[in-house]
Amino acid sequence: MENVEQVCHDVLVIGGGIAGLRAAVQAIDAGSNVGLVSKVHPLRSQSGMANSVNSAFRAGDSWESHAYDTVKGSDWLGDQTAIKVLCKNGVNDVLELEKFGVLYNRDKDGDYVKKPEGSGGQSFPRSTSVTDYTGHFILLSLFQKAMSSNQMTLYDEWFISTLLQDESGDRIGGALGFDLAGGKLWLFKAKSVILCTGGCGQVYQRTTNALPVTGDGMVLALNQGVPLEDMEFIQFHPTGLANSTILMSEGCRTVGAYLINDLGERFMSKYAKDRLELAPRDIVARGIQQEILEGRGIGGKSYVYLDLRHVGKEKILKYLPKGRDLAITFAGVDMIQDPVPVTPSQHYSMGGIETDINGATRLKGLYAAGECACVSVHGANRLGGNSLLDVIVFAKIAASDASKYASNANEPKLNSSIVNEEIQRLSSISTREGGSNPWPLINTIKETISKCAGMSRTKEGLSEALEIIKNVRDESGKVGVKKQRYWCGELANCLELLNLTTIAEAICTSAILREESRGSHYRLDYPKRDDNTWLRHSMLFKDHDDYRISYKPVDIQEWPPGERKY
Amino acid sequence: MKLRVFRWSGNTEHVPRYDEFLLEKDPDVYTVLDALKSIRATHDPSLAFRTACGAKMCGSCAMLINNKIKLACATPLTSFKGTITLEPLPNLPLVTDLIVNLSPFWERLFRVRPLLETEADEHQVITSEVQFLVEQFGKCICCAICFSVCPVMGRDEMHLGPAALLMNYRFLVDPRDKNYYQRLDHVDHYHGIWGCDTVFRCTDVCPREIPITQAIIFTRKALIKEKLLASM
Repeated sequence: MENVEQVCHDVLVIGGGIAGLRAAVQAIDAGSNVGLVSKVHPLRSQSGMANSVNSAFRAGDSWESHAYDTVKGSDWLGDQTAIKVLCKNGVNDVLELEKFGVLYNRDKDGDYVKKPEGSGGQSFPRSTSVTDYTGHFILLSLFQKAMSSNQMTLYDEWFISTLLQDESGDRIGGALGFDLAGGKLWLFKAKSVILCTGGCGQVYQRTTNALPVTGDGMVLALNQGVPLEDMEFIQFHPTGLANSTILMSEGCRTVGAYLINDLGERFMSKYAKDRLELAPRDIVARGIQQEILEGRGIGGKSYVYLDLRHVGKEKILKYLPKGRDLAITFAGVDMIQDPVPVTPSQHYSMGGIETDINGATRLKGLYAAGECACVSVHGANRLGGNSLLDVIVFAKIAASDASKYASNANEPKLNSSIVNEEIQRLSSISTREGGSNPWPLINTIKETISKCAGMSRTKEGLSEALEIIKNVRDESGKVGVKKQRYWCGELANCLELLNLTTIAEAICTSAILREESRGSHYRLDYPKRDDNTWLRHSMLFKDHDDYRISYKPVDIQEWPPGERKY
Repeated sequence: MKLRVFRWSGNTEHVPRYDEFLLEKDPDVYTVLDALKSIRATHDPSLAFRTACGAKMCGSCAMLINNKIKLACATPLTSFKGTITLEPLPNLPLVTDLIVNLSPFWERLFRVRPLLETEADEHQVITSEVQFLVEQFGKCICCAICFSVCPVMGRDEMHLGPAALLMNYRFLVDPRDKNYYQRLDHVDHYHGIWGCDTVFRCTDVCPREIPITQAIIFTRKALIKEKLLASM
């Protein structure tokens, strides 16, 4: 294996967003030697865009109440023991970030700010933020903390193309990747690996997710025999800017924004008569979609208005400076004076790599945390502010476990024929004569998934999607790099196409088999929730080109399924 | 409308050139970044540029657009007539096409030790005013636009640059940070705060509207005050 650099780490973290950085900081603290690999610079990660995080530390609040809200919000598909860990640990773990540099909003007396309302589906105003730059501050502070340690090596703008197992076959061994600048191959041996690669939103046309969010880590795990859990549950955020998909955060509704249709009505009273705009996201998104379908979108078009005029200039400038700037820059609208056109956009993937309550997958030494993982704490629908919480709590837990595992593990031995196979695969894509351009195929996937696996699904639609994706899969064997250059962006795009194809297959396969509607998964042909048959998680396995699915029960503790009314 | 893009393979044996692409009217192509993505998808998949969020938040897509340094995702095509020329950021080594090597930028940022080290009491009271100050300067997305526009960076290779000085100030105003005097001392030289030309170019172009020059001037004032009080 000439021309391949080799390095060995105790803990290899793949993905440099808040999950990856929180894991790295924790692993460093536990004494591990850490390698952090990211295909974009960590500060460019999606999680830097997040707006607030929930924590039940305030007087008058309780983690039990937060846990119940989360269980109900998940449409009872969330695993309750894990949710209790999420909410209980969240009481300390969120404020703990202040020791790394984060500084949450205070009021004039120095107390933590309490917003006027609980965010979507929350019974108490527990969202904690740094105005609307929360994700950025957490990302930047954790990055600064991690980089200050000499126990960590950052590989930024490196692409991981496959995980590798120890030759014993029963634990992780590391990963193979390449430096985007120059294309040099790197063999990363690792005693433990933590996948923190985020979601898969780029499989949709209208998504709030950044361009690099192509589900890479989910596919890396799937290819090692680890199942993807609950992939049919995709969240559509109700308020993406209509003309661009940039997110208008839930924070707008938490400070009192209304959703208005063409008749000027606050239509959410029809779909969630108590919480209205602050019902969980799947309910609000479906409400908006229904209004549009019935012709009550603004001017008959496919958007409604997010109206903050009554909230007032002072509150808007205080709580939503970034949000206001986004609406001005990308929609030409100042929310102080005008209503903002919004429509649902894909936003989050509740499903992902199956992990246990310690962030461990079925493959010893392989962990996952953040949006790419499914513990499951979000079940069929995630509440706003719980994603950052998930990332903070479970990245910490996974890293502790991974460090402990690594400290007791020997250096792995890798199977050189598997490594060579992968090097061959990459080389064949890079040097393919007359290789085709991956982008038209990527667009086909996006169009197909958006049409058939969106907010409302049918058996016919999903079958049609699977047929089209199969064709894409066949065609994707012909993509290649047009010009062999120093910068390997083209190779990365070809690999992303392959990942998106797998994600598309995973979503459609899981969705077509779940014959009920629950949370964000809505079947026009099976519109009711069916707890008798479907109170269970789907687990999708991939063996070479074949998928098989199995199911496991939901962990129900003190909260049996109830009616999901808001 | 024409897009004229700087191209270089990254191989020192190849000469840089400008490629021209004709842009057709397309309602989905609204910003310069949209145009780049569209060209890459339909004309030339080897076109190399950095992008992530597309929403003015991550700082990936800073570049020269008709000789002005901007974020491509936040620059609408409608603000131009005729040809739009795209070039990589100045003051930084070139990697390929519109991608530059940001190592000099990160290296300077880490030179000011941007890390909270605190002996603060857990019950230290921090008011909303103090929090606002930290937030105002800590919201820097490290896009390197200020670094690229700074005239001092062009003539003094050792200069710390606007972003590093701004980041140092973010910690100076954070009451939890225990390194106040060391931080002042560390930038007290010609390659630090005294090298700034005070031309406000950085403040003018910052996409987050951070008053960067103010951070530098206030650091100078703090230093002068400490020296006059002879507590240094």
